[in-house]
Amino acid sequence: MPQNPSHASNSEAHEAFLERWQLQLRKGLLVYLVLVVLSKGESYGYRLIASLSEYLESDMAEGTIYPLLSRLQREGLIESRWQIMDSGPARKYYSIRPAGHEVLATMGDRWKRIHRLLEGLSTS
Amino acid sequence: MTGSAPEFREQDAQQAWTQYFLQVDSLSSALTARQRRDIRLEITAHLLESYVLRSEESESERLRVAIERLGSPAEFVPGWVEDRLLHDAAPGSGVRSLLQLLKLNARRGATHLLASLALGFGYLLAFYFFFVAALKPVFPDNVGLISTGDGFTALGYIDTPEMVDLLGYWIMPLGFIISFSLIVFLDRMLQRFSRA
Repeated sequence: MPQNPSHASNSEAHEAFLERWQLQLRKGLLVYLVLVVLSKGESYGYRLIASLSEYLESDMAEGTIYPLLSRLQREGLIESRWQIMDSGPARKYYSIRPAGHEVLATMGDRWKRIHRLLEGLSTS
Repeated sequence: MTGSAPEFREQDAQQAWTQYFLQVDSLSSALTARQRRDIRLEITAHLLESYVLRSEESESERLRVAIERLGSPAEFVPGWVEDRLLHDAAPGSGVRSLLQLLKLNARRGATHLLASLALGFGYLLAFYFFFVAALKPVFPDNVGLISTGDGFTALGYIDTPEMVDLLGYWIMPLGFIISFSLIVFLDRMLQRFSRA
């Protein structure tokens, strides 16, 4: 049966809409996850991305983490230090600051609220 | 701190590395040398770590995959640079940084452009008050808040036959206080505005 062209274009538009929505969700989630990972101990860019990929169960564009780390540092939530290695290039280690722990706790509460809200909606 | 580029045996790999960092340098040119070096070092560390963990056979293939995973500099360096400017080029850190910050805000849309222009004008005004106050001892009769015979009043250097200096040497403390207060106020506004 031939497919209605307007249905096809609608479906493509919906797919694009969902892609954008998912991207926004991931962006919001990424900030939270970075703080979660750093709350467990200091880490450097490459290792941090490996941990995040496990959480997100997918590979992420690795470079995107650096502007985010810079922003979190600017907001005073994390800090960094360079560590000279015995072999290989120096690594920049990031760690969470007390303000970061506070923000993380608040973010956790809000995620839980959103989760409860969504559960309530799906059961009502 | 070891952050120098590795030496590849394969020319393609060496070329790809050089090309990548030329792009990084070009995209981060608005930053200070130290800030640029910081970004370069972090990208170097990332790429090398990714490179040594790759199992592909040739150097160029391993580097290609490492670069592909990290992404093109155009995808993430501009955002990083923007943040470094906002973080390190904090108000009070020099005229060049201040101009970069104003320029950066101006590119963020019409509202930011107008606010940047207003802030830029404010800083010019602050510097003007400072220079008027500083030049008073050099040109005591011609610099100040001066009223001319035809009812015209101006702040600055005036040289006409009939004129009255309305503030005299009071222009010095007043000029410095106004200039300093304006800069403190504008710095705070710029900081708040940059984070918005």
